[in-house]
Amino acid sequence: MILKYAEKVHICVKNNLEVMMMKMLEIKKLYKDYGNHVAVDGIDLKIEKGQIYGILGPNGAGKSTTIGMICGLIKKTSGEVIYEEDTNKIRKWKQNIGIVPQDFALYFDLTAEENISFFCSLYGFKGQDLKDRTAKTLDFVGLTDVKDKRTLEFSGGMKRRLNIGCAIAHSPKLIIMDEPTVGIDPQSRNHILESVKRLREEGATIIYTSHYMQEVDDICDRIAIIDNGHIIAEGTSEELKELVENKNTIILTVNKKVNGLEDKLKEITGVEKVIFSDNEYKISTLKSSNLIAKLVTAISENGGDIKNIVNQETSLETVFLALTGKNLRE
Amino acid sequence: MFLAMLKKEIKQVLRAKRTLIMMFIFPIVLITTLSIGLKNIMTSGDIFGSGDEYSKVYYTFDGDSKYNHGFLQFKAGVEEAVNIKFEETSSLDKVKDNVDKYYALAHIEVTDTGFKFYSSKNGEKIEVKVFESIFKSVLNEYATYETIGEYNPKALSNLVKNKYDEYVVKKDVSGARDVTSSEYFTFAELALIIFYVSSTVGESVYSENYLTTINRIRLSKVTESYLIGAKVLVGIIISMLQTLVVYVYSSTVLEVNWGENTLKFMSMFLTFGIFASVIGAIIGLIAKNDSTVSGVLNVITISICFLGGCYVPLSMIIGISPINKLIYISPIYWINTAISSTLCGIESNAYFIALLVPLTLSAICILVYLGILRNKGGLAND
Repeated sequence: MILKYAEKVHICVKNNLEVMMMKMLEIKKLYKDYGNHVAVDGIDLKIEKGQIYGILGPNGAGKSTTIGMICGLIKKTSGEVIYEEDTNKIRKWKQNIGIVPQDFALYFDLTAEENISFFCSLYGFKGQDLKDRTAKTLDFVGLTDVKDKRTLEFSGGMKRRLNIGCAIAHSPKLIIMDEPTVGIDPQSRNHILESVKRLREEGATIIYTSHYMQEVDDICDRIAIIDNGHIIAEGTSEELKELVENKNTIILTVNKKVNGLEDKLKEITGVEKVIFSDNEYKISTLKSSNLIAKLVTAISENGGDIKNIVNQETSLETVFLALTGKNLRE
Repeated sequence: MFLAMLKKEIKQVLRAKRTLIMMFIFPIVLITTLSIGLKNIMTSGDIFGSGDEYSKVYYTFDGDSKYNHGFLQFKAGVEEAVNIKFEETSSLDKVKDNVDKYYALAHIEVTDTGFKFYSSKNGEKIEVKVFESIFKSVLNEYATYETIGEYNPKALSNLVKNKYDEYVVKKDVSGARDVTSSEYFTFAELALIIFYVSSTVGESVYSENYLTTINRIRLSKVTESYLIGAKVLVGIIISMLQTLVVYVYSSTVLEVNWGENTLKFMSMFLTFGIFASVIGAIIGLIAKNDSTVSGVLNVITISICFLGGCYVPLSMIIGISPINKLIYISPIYWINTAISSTLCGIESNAYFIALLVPLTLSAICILVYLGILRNKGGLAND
């Protein structure tokens, strides 16, 4: 009896592990150019089932082009996208995708309920099943109370939630979210992040792009950092942070930008990357070298008036700076 | 799934109040205004005067020209059909002042080499333009047909008759009558309003691209062709409803008699509604931005409607050279011609052409759409 039970548990665990280890998506040498401009330069990615996979990158890094090619909305120049280890034919697999674009793909003259119901009906759902799915989705995104209101009257946060609702009502296996929390209030952001976690718990695989590193750090199982069409680092948040464990980020706030100072700071031994934005010099240095005194002197000698100095702890932001020499919002 | 799309499209149309007003109230206002306002222009029998108030044309024979005979044939035909009287004079100088002051339409000198046409130096009035068009079409081409005339005199008389019918006509058919302004503008403006459906459909198709909702549709179980089809169908439904509204209003208020031709007329507006919807969808699909959609469709609408006689009566457009050579490409021209012919009891093929032209143009648009779909539509990477 005990042996039989143990055997059942073993089989169950084995099956779950197999499911977990199965690839939802595999991208091989994906490449896209627009004439002389290379948007995506031979990206390789593997996303396993049930993962929340974060893609980080500044504007123009190639995130949206990659997503467009995964969905078949942008024609690839070369490379391959394989869905569920089974097919590379998007037409065969497309109904398993739910897309949450950065822009609101909604009909503003329809109500929240009509929007969700319409997009869900395009997958063949009708009658009571369609009504149930619509009601469940409205509840999931927290819009049941305003289901009869026209989308035009919604706040930015409500539109973002509806944008997600329209993508998930048909229970897709792969949900692609492109900057789903841009420009919304903290309450709506928290609601969306919680929703993303719940979707994973319900078995969906999620590709998540964002400018907000903290939320990517909080919810993503694995993260790829893209810059200039290349993946420059990939792994869990901890693995990425380990990449820069011998590095340090110092933020020096000044009253104004000093011309030519960035080049002078880069000449200091131990300084690796320097960027300036919002009156802040973000400087990536080797951890072993204590450079604060040298940096302060260099700024003062060149006419800079330092207001604040922060020695930043390792985060995805410092990882991003150390690897790319850029701010994510550039 | 197609029904869901159709339902969504209908909901969106019903919620756009401005579109509804434009679609169903504006035609009534337009038809009423033009019917009353332009009543005088439309009495084509009166354009050259009526009863004792006739129009005059002077002519001079410059010797025994080979063109004299043809001119006399033309003169007899014109005098018989409309209220124009020809008066011979020895030279232009004697009557030039009368022509300049519009006491006469023109002076024609028949010479060895052809004809010299003189109209007022102060500009041509509508009736002069119409007369000049008839004259130029018939007699100025006389020289070209001279050789034919020598061997086959009947060919020339047929030419004169055909050209003559093309311009003045309508009253010379026994038992027939002329088109009233209410009738003319009811049908012409209905065609104009129906063509504005193209803008509604075009902007609707474009908005799917702009809002990126089309990407959700491309990723669903249906293709974008379902969506385009639903939008075109809604456009056709709108055009049918517009025809019904105008039918009820014009027959009860303006006393326009659709009579036994109702279905015939409606079938022409239906095919025209198909064309308007299809071309709107194609432009909406091709256009890169909102202003391109409205700009291109406005140019097409204005051209087709102007050439078809929606802004000014066809009788005036026919008098404007070289525009009168372009009118045949406008489906509205054929609709107006078919309706006028039917109402006036004139036998013609215009009805079949009025059905064929929009359907052919729609088929061309659909072929263009299939080409677009092959090149850039749907999903890539398969």
